[in-house]
Amino acid sequence: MMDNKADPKGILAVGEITAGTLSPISLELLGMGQKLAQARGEELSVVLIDRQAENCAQEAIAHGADRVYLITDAPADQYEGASCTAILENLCTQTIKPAVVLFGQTVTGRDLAPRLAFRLKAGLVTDCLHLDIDPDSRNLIATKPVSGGNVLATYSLQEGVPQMASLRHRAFDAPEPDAHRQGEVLPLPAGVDASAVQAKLMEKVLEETSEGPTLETAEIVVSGGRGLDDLEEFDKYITKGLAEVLGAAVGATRGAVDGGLQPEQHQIGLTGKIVGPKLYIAVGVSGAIQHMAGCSGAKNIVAINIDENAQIFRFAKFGIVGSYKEVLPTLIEKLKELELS
Amino acid sequence: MNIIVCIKQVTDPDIPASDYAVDTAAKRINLPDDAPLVINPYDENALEAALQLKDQTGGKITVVSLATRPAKRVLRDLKQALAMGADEAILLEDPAFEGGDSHSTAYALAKAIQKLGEFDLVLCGLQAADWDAGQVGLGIAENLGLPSATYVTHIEAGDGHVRMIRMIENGHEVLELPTPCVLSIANDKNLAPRIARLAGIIKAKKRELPVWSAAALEADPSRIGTAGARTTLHKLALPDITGSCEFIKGESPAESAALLVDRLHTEKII
Ligand SMILES: Cc1cc2nc3c(=O)[nH]c(=O)nc-3n(C[C@H](O)[C@H](O)[C@H](O)COP(=O)(O)OP(=O)(O)OC[C@H]3O[C@@H](n4cnc5c(N)ncnc54)[C@H](O)[C@@H]3O)c2cc1C
Ligand SMILES: Nc1ncnc2c1ncn2[C@@H]1O[C@H](COP(=O)(O)O)[C@@H](O)[C@H]1O
Repeated sequence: MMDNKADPKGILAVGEITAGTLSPISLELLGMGQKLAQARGEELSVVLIDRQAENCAQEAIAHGADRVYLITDAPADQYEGASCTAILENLCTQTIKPAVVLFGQTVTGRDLAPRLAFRLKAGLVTDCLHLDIDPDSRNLIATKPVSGGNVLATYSLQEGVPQMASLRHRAFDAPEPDAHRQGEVLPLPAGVDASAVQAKLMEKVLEETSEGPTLETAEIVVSGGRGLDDLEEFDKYITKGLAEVLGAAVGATRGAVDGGLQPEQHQIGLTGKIVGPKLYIAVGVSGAIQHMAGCSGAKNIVAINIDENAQIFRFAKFGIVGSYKEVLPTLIEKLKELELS
Repeated sequence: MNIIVCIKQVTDPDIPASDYAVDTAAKRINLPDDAPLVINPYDENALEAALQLKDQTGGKITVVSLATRPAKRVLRDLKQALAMGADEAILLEDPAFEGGDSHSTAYALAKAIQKLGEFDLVLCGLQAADWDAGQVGLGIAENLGLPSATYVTHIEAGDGHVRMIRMIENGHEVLELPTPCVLSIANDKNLAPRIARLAGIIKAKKRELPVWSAAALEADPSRIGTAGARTTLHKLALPDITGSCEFIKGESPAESAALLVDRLHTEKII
C-alpha cells in the first residue's frame, strides 16, 4: 500500500469501569495487551469513556497501560452503543491508528466491538481464550471456542485495518499492579454531540440484590437447571435452601431461565455470566458445553444429577447420582449442622 | 409492523461433545451424517418475538436465511418458520457466498433486506451456535446505517419507534429506538418458540420459495464469500475435557449427602 499515512501501531484496550474502579476484565485486557505490545515492540494504550475515568487512570497505568485516554464528556451518561461507536471510530481513525484493539466479552463489549469492527471494516474475533502475535508477520492470532466450546478455532486477521478481539472473562490473568509504573494520561474530547445518541434510555432497573453475594465475586455458587421441577422447587431447594445456608450466589442454566425458574441475569455460560468460585454446585444441570463455558474456571465442581451418564460428571470433582428431592434436604441439614459446630 | 427475521441453520447444539471431530488438514469440523439440523435457538426466540408483535399489531413477517448447507435442508427451516406464522421466506443461495465470515454474511443479508423494500424491524439472534460470533445483527445495522441494540428480550411497538427491554449485567434497561432498526434477541421465558399448527405445516409444505443469488442481490463480488472476509481460519482443534469425578455413594441418597458434606469439609472446600 503506497499511501503516506503511518502504519497502524500499538495496542488499544477499551476499558470498562464498574463501581468507580476498572472492572476485572479490564485488568485482564491490560495484562494481555501488555504482552502483545511487548511482542510487537510497541505501546499499550487504554481508553476509558466514563464521567469518572480520571479516578482510574493510575490504576490502569499500574496494571500495564503506557498511555490512558480519558473521555469524560460523552453525550450519554452511561454506555450507549451508537455514540460510543462514533467516539471510538474517531479515536481509531483520527487520534491514533492502533494495530490491535481489545475489548472484554461483556454485555458492553459484545455490543460495542462488532459495531466498531463493521464501522472500520476490520476483522474481529469474539470471545477469545488465547491471543498471540505471529513472529513473522507481527499479526494478531486469535483462538476462540466455537460450536459452544466443542471445538477451538484459531484465526488470523486482515492487515491494514485494526485487528480486533474481545477476550473472555477469566481466560487471561490480571497482572500484579506496580504502583511505580509511569504512564501518560491524556484527556480527550468525545468529539461527538447528543445527535450521535440513538437509543433513548427510558428506565434502568437494577435487580434488587438479595443479601447473598454477587455471582461474579462469589466464593460459592449454587446453580440449578431444568432438572428442578418448577419455580417453587427452585426457590425452596436452591435460593432459600442450599445457596442460603452456604452464603452462595445463585446461578442458573439457560434451560432454567427459559423455563422461568430464574431471570436471565442469573444465566451462567457462553451467553451468560462467567464465574470462577472456589466451589460450584450444579443441581439438575446436564453439563451442556455452553453452560460449562461459564463455570469451568471454578476450582471445585460438585454435581447432583439423577442421570449417571450426565455430561456434568465429566467436569465435576465430586458427584452424587440421585434426585435433588432426596439429596438436598439432608445436604442442607448437614451443612447447617456444620455451620453451628 | 413489517418485520424481517434472519434465521440460520445450525447443527443441533445439544448433540454430545463426543460427536465432534476435526479434520485439521481440511480445517473442517466433522459431524455424524445424521446429526440433526435445527434453526439456531436464538433465531427461534427472534422469530417468536416477531410473531408476538404481529399478534398484537398485525403486519407481515419475512424470514431470510443465507444457506451454508444444501438449499433443500435450509428450505425445510424456512417452511417451519412459515408454518409457525411467518408470511414470506427467502433463501439466499450461491456458491459465491461460500467461505464467508461475519462481514460477508452481514453484507449479503443487508443487500437482501434492501431488496425487500420497506420494513420497520430486522430481528436477529444474539449469536449463532456454530461459530458463536455474535456479530451479524450489528453488522447488518452498520451496513444499512440503522440503529441497533443487542440482548433484547421484549419489544413493544410504538409510533415511529420501538420500546424494548435490554438485559444488562445486573438488571435491565428500557430503551427506545427509532424505526427502522435492527435488534439482536436473547432468550427469555416469554420467548419460547410456539409450536406450528398442523394446518400451517400443510400450507407451508406446498409453498414455492424464492431463492436469490448473489447477482439477484446486486452484491459487490469483493464483499461476499471468501473475498469479503476479514478473518481467516487457521486451525481447528478439539479441547481436552478430561475430568475424573469421584462419585459419592452412600446406602441412601441422604447418606450420600452426609458423606459429601464430610468430604468437602475434610478437603477444606467448605
Ligand atoms: C448459542 C447458544 C448459547 C447458549 N448459551 C447458554 C448459556 O449461556 N448458559 C446455559 O446454561 N446454556 C446455554 N445454552 C443452552 C445449552 O446448550 C443447554 O441447552 C442448557 O444449558 C441446558 O440446560 P439444563 O442443563 O438446565 O437442562 P437439561 O439439558 O434439560 O438438563 C436437565 C438435567 O437435569 C437432570 N435431572 C432431571 N430430573 C432431576 C432430578 N429430579 N434431580 C436431579 N437431576 C435431575 C437431568 O438428568 C438432566 O441432566 C446455549 C445454547 C446455544 C445454542
Ligand atoms: N447465514 C445466515 N442466514 C441468516 N441469518 C444469519 C446467518 N448468519 C447469521 N445470521 C443471523 O445473525 C445472528 C448472529 O449470528 P453470528 O454473528 O454468526 O453469531 C444469528 O442469530 C442470525 O439471526
